[in-house]
Parts: sequence; structure tokens; C-alpha cells
Amino acid sequence: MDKKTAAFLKKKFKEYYYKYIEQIEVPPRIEEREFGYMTFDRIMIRHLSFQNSGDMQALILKESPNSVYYSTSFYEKPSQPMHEKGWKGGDLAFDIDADTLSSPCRKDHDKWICRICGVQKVGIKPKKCPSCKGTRIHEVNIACGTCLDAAKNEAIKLQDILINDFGIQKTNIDIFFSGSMGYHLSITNSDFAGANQAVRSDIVDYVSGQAFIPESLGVSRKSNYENMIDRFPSKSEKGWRGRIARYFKAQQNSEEPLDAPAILIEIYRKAGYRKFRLAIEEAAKKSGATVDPSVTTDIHRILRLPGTLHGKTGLLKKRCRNLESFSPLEDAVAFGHDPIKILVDHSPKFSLMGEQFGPFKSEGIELPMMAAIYLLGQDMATVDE
Amino acid sequence: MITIDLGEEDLAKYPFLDEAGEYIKARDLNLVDISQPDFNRVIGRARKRVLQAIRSREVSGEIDKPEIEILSFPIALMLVKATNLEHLVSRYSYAEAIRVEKLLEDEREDLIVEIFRNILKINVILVTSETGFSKLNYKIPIIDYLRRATRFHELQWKLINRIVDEGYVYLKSHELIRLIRQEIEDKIRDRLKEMVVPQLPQSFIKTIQELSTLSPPPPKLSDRMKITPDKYPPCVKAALDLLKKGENLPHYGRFLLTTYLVNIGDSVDEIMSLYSRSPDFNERITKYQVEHIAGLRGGRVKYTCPSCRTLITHSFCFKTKECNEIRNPLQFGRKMNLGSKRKGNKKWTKKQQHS
Repeated sequence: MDKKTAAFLKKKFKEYYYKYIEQIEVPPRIEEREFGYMTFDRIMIRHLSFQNSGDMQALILKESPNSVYYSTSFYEKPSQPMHEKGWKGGDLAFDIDADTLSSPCRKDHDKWICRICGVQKVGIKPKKCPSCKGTRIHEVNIACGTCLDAAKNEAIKLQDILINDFGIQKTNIDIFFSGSMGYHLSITNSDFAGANQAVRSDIVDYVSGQAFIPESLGVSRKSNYENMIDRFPSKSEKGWRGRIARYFKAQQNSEEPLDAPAILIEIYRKAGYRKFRLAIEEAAKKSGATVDPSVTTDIHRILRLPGTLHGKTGLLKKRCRNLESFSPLEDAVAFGHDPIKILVDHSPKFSLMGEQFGPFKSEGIELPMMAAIYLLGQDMATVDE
Repeated sequence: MITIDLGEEDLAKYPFLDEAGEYIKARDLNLVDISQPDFNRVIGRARKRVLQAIRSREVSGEIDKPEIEILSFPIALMLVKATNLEHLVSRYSYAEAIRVEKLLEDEREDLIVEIFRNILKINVILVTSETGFSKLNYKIPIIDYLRRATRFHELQWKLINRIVDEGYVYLKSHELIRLIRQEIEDKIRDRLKEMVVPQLPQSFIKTIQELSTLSPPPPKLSDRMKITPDKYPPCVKAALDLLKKGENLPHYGRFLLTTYLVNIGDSVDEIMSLYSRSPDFNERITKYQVEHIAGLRGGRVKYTCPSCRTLITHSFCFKTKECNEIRNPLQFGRKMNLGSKRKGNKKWTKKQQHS
């Protein structure tokens, strides 16, 4: 990003924060959290701490950073280096990123640039550059409405597992649009605050459907068909057994509907243990929520602060009071319609507040502020002044 | 304190309970008393407890003479402590834990619930409904389950392979009891560690010497040979292959590779030379990161290699038959399968298969 664009964005962010500083959420136990921010020169500052919301707001107003972060954990001394902080516990946090979900639309709006020969193309990033065979490939991706719907779907699955299986009250699950590619789910006050990394890692496997084994359905390598039907789950069963039953029931397209145990028997009869296991593993992965394991398991992680702006998009990290009806490309838009002229290098088609923009290629164009900042932050455009 | 009535027999089975301590206290015994011939049977049982731990890694449950059983437990602890052998402390704690585990398996449900609530602070709830395909008698909060079950590496212990509902994990009684073996072991070990042995009468010295002689020292780890790349575990090989092909190695693969190599004794320079082939190699950043992991910077803590379970979570496990149920890539090729050597585990496995 050139200096002029960086200065412009910083100015706009500052104006925004001056108006809406009160809308930044104050994390519970603020004095025990680590804070950090990234400047528009992409310098990361960490290990800050605030005694109260006023100090936090003052810093954000003064620096107007590209991004502001807070730790999911709480510490004895949050401003000390990591090994001296004294970990006291942490929220149970999940990150769902549209980037990791292979929505079919990605081939239409993602773009890659070979850092070696400079070739650039629209589509999914290849492993090797088809032109020079180099592997230093930079990816430029935006999340369109379809990608974000897919991410929302994962968040709904996760919310369902947390409520039904983990017994967490819906009101205790904080759900946020991340400001760019997905959703953050966070549980602050729970039995899991003191959980170590091994426990958090097992929770990730649970919610994402990893390592489910046929033995949990009552089938082993040595099983015979006797009693198998009694061991297989019905679709009303609790936890993962029921989830697997419901998955196969939903997949069924035969004319004579079978109940879930009968479907599973059919699969086992045709496939045998090994292939049955593979089918079950796939069913579990598809029924689970795709989350980034490192966000949940890394207890020293910092996440974007709710109510602050995402430096790449100018969108807010925004609380979703009703996940089902939340519309990120409208509800999280922070900037308005003031027109501004920018030089767009390239941009796929995108939409904000229901308005369609682009695609653009090497052109100077006047755009509403929200769309201009969306492109400037992603290095797809520069200011023209 | 336990809220149900405990008989002498209960105390004999679980002599680590506070109530058993009270029982002994009430007797107001001293070292001179227990050196008297009347106490020969108690001392004999205490010696046998330790001998059983040494010979078969399991103390037998002898509750037909509850008084002897209760009194012999603290004396056995004293004998173990007096040998001053660290490995005997571990071995004895383990063997007593196996004894308790087996007794608990046949225990009445209300006492199991009490022991869990009072000694281990786990809120165990008795359930009667059939859930899943087998009878599950108990449920415990998910967090209490995970804190213990994450020590086990078999997939059956992963939360996803359990019946889970509304914050609770449903368990069969032997599963619930297996979960706490380690804690019983830790409790006994902690007690041994804190114990101060008084000046013992001459009659004890002979027994202590006998136990010291019979207690085999732990197997010596032969000087570690340099592990060559063909002996690396499959996940580390996969990480190296990606690097060699000049492909971008994901973050977790880098962490695994670096921690593995650091822990088998490779130098920072050796590790750096591998990364120099990486498409996005940056010497300064890589050096900083490798040195950090090696414990030469920051917190000065050498990072250990992530466990196999963690690698599964991060989709970087490439398990083969040769992995042989290891828990950590560092164990690859040099694990002596300790699990099956332990008697208790063996029995457990059989039981699991039949259930």
C-alpha cells in the first residue's frame, strides 16, 4: 500500500472512531486482557493493557489503527512478555473463515499473482505457476455473499453443537461477523475458561467432526450383522450418533424410504468395514462445523476487537444478535455514500448495501466511500488526489 | 467428607480417604507400638504390598482383615519412602492405583459417586436411561471428562466418540473408573513426596534394605543414536517432502518439523539449511523462529514436539502401521510399548473388547 493511500485510510478510520467510539465493545475483564494493534504501515504492536474502557478508547482514537486486537485469554500481567504474563484462563473462541470453505464461486472472484514472473489470473491459486513453475504465489481473495453465506452456515452448525451437546446457553455465545471473511464465536463465562490446549483441541475435533470412528456406532472390524441394527443410531439420538444418522437419512434418495439404521446397514453390507469407515468419516466432517483449529487451541491468540474496523475492508467486526437474519455486507458496513475518485488496479464484482460494483480493471472511477475503502484496504486500488 | 456411612471394609479398600486417617488417628499408635510382635501381621502385609508392587505392578485387594489392611497402608508408604528410591515411589503409587481401580469396578454406585464428588471434586450423576446402544450408568460434566480423557491416546476416548448431551458425557462404570486411575496414583505419589520418615526402629531397617535390593532400577536409556532421516516418523517425512519439492509447508507442518528436529538434537544451522529451499524463505525471520523454538530466545523454553492428537486436529497426521500407537512423533521407532507391559492396561483392553 502506498503512503498516500495509507494516510487516507488512517484519516477515514479516525473520523469514524471519533463519531462511533462508544460502539466499540469492552471485553469483560478488560484489565486482564492483552491488547494489540496493527498500523497502516503494517507494524504490529502487542502486549498492551488497559485498566478501563476509557484508556482503550483513547488509544484507538489516537492511533486509528488498521486493526485492533484483544486476547481471548486473561492474564495476571497482560502487558509483560508472553512467558511472564501468567495465564489465568481464556474464552473458548472459534473462527470460521470463508477462505477455508471451497465455495464454487471462488473461482470467479479469487485471484492470484505469481511473485516470480508476475503472471496474474482470476481463479483458485494453483500450487505452481503454470507459466514459470514457481511456487511463490500471492493470493487475493474477497468473500462474496455466497462465500459469507457458506461461512454463516458453518456458524449455525457450530452454534447448534454448542447449545445441544455442550449445554451452553444461546445467550452466552457471542457471535460476530469478523469484518472480512467469516465469523467469530466466543464463550466467555463457562466451565471451559481454564481448559488447556489438549482439551481445546479435543473440543475442536468434536465440533468439526474429526476422528469419529465406526465403533461409536457399534461396529468394529469383527462385527457381524446380528444385532447391528439395534446398535445403529436413530435420527433422534443425541450427539454425534444422531448427527450421523440424520446425515445419511438426508442423503437418501431411494423411492422406498428407510430409517437411519437400515440405511447404515445397507452401506455396511455394500462397503465392508474399511469403506464404511471412510463413509462415516466423510459424513462426520460434513456434519461438523469447519473451524480454524489454531484459533481455538492457541491460548495466546489475539482476535479482532468487536466494534472496530477491519483494515482490509473497512467493514466492522459486528455482533450478530440474530445470526440467521444477519447480512454482513449490509449490517457491517461502516462508511457511507460520499463519492470519492480512486484508481482501481483490478477488482472482481462485489456488493455492499445491496449495490453492485465492478468488475474494474485499471481505471479511475468515482465510488461511494464504503466501496472505495473496501478496495483501497485490499490493495486493489490507490487514492487519486 | 463422605456423607454416607463407611464401614471398616470400605476404609480397607480406600485407605487414602480422610476417614481412614481418622480411624488410624483414633488408635493413637506410635512407632514403639507398631514394633511390637502384635503388629507383625500388619508389618507383613505392608511389606507384601510393596513386594507386590515391585513384582507384579499391582497390589492385591485383601479386605477380609480390614484392620490389617487399613493400618498396613501408611506403613507401606513409610517403607517405600524410607528406601529413598524415586522409581519405587512411582511404581508403588501405580500399583496401589490399580488395586483401587479394580475394587471400584465392583463397588456400589452410591459410594462411587461419593468418592468422585468428595475426593476428586467431580460431579458424577447416576443415570438410569439407556443412551446409545449400551447401558451407561453415569454422566459427568464435559470439562471434567476432557481434563482426564485427553491423557489417553486411543480414539475411543475422544469426546466425539462418546455420548454427549447438554454438557454431560455419559459413561459406563469401568470407563468412569479408568478415567481417574492417574489421579489416585498422583494422590498416593503426592502423599509419599510430602511424607517425612521418622527415625525407624531396627526391625524396619532389614525390610527396607530387602525392598531396596529387590526393586529393579528403571531401564537405562541407551545413549541416543543420531536419528537419521529414514527413521523419521511419517508426519515429519511428509513435512520434509513438501520442503524438498519447494512447496509451501503449512504453518503447523513447520512447527512440527522444527520442534521435532530441535528435540532430536539437530542444530539451528542444520534446521535453517532445510528451510532455505522454501519458496518464501526469509533468513532473518526463520532464524528468529527456529531459535525461539529451540529455547535460545524469548522465554528460553525449548518447545516440545506437538502430540499425535494435536497433529490430527491440525490435519497433519500421516499415520502408518509403524506408528504403533505412539502419542508423540518423538516416540516413533523407539517406543517399547509401555502400555501393554502394564498389567492393568492389558486387562483393561480385554475388558473393553468384551463390553
